[in-house]
Amino acid sequence: MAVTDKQTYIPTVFSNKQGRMVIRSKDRTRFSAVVRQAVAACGAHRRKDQVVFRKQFENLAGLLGGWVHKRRTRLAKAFLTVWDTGLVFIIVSKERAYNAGLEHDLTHLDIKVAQSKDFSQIALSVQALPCCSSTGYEHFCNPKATLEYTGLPVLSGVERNVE
Amino acid sequence: MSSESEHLKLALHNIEVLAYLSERPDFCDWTATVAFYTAVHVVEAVFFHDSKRVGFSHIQNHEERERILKSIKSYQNLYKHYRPLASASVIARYLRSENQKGLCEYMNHDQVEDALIKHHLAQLIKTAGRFLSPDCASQLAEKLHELSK
Repeated sequence: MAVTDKQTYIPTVFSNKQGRMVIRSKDRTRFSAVVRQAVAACGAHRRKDQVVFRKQFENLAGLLGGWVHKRRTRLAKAFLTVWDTGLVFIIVSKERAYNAGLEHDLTHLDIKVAQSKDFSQIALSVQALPCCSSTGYEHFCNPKATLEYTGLPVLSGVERNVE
Repeated sequence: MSSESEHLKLALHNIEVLAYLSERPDFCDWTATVAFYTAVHVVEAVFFHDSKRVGFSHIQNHEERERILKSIKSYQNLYKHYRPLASASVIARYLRSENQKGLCEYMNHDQVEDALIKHHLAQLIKTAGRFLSPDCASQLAEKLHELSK
């Protein structure tokens, strides 16, 4: 939890709203900065593409949040970070040992997103890490552009802060 | 520009390296890395052989290669075995833990051999055989069979 405590990453919660997962972040300014970096990394330079991208990004973050939620007993951490080449969904397992099932699920998710027209503007990669300290996962997370899934819904009556 | 045969040559060479490393359980990180780069050459050989159909023959970087493998449905089964190899190699090269064991803490030598080589790399080569020339496919299969003995 050291990284979140230092507020390096942006805590992001997700909840089920009208049957679909949506994300919320208290820090709107930093969240918007992440989206802008994501736009650049995924090459959505045209204004029209950016509008589509932002919607797709919101839906993707929700989809990934749902995926994390479903596997919350097996995951220690989950991040959506921005690299130069696109977005990277990083999960940190609670186990130190190799988990073939988790790898299989992640591959399935990766293919699903890549082949979905709903995410046509998104360039997403995925990476599972074994249980590790912040020393381990910090290397994979952009310090200025990372959302951290913080688990079960904890906010109530808070408006969606996704652009 | 590399050809199918040039990628085959490099893949076969890497499989020989895997045979050498199979006797060195303390180098499971390098075993995982060589297994991944074997897969890269197999996939590049597929792209070259399949170039008329897909419209390209060579990919410059890992991100683009992954994007093609997972977004073109006929390559989906290749990607199912390519991604775990890529993932393990990323952990081997970039994950740093306090005890500096890296991948060897995550996967022991037997798991690297069984899950990465005998399962994912073997399945990737088998699947790639559908796209490669018969000679290329059989050479890869034979070499991998020797490794599995």
